[in-house]
Amino acid sequence: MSGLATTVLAVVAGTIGMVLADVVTREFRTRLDRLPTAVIRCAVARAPRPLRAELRDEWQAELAEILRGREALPATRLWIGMRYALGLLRSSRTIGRTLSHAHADDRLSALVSEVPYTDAEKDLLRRAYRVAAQWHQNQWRYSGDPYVTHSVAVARILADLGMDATCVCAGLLHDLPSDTEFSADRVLAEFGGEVAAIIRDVIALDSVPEASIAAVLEATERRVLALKLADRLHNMQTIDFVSVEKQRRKSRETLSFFAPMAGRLGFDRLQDELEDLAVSTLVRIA
Amino acid sequence: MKDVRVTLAVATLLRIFIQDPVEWRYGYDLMQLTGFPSGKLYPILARLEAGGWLIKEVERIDPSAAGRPARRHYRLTGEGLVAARRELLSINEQVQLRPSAGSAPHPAVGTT
Repeated sequence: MSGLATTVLAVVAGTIGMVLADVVTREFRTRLDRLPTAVIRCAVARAPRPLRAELRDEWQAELAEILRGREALPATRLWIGMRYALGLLRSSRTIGRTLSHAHADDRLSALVSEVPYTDAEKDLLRRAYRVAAQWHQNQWRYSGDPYVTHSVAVARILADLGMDATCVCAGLLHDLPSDTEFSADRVLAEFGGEVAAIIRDVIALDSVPEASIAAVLEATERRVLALKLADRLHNMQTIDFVSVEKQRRKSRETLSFFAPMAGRLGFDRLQDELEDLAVSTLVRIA
Repeated sequence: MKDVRVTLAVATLLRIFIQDPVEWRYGYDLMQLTGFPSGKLYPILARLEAGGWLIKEVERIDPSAAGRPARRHYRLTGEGLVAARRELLSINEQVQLRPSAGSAPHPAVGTT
């Protein structure tokens, strides 16, 4: 009798034990599975912002596939998942930069093929892009993108404003003299006096005292002002990546100064876009 | 289409794509086929994609019906296929021209 009771007790205890163990294992496994997911999130955060959603979707789906159908022990799942995720964490910056550079290449190709430039002008723009990509090589935007993505974006805005190839070329090269060893003299020697003059005048605008800015702008060439505005527009388009204080300062400056300037020059859409970006930024950070 | 430096690892991967050029391949499947860890495979995929050798697409499934998120898969572009064949051929020739180089040809490069 007592033997039977012991047996029943043992079976019951064993069953409860097994169920408990299973519950604990499941719980444990769900929790452990979150670890590689979290590591992939970190990996994604190391890539340039515009690429993140796509990379996250690809890697998380792949991880789900790796873990799916593996009913193995939690430790095995953790090991496989972590190996996958840590490899990505190590390489995601390289991957992001590779893809981002390719996007810049594509955008330049699109620009050159969509605007009816002469063959000489196309060559000029391709050469300017190669120089910009080479000299900005190890420089990055706050967004994590290669710096040259900014050069191409500015060039695109200028082309859309109807500026000539000389001005678009200056757009591609405009940050070289101030940010790299590619000096104003080299711009002059390799891209000619007109391009060099536009870039020189744009840089000079930064050091004009506020009191005399109106007079200076009056006397400044349209292409120089267009470049200044294109530069500002792209900076406003990517303003999310700088400090809140800087966002506020830049947005106010855009509203009080650059948007009206665009209006005076007859760039109505540019004016609208600058105002929209500045206002929405100020509202967001208020 | 841009030049991509075809290292042995790149050649290993290209060889898999060339075997069945119309077949789409997932990242994890490629890791298993090549034996490369993710940290080695994905940068190569990015280089080949950036160079226009590979195209990446979202697989056409309904995630809610399938009960899992849609995966990305890759295959060679037309130009990528031509370039991959040319590069692998050139590697094979180099390996055969120098049989006394000491070690046996890397098994992963093989003949196709």
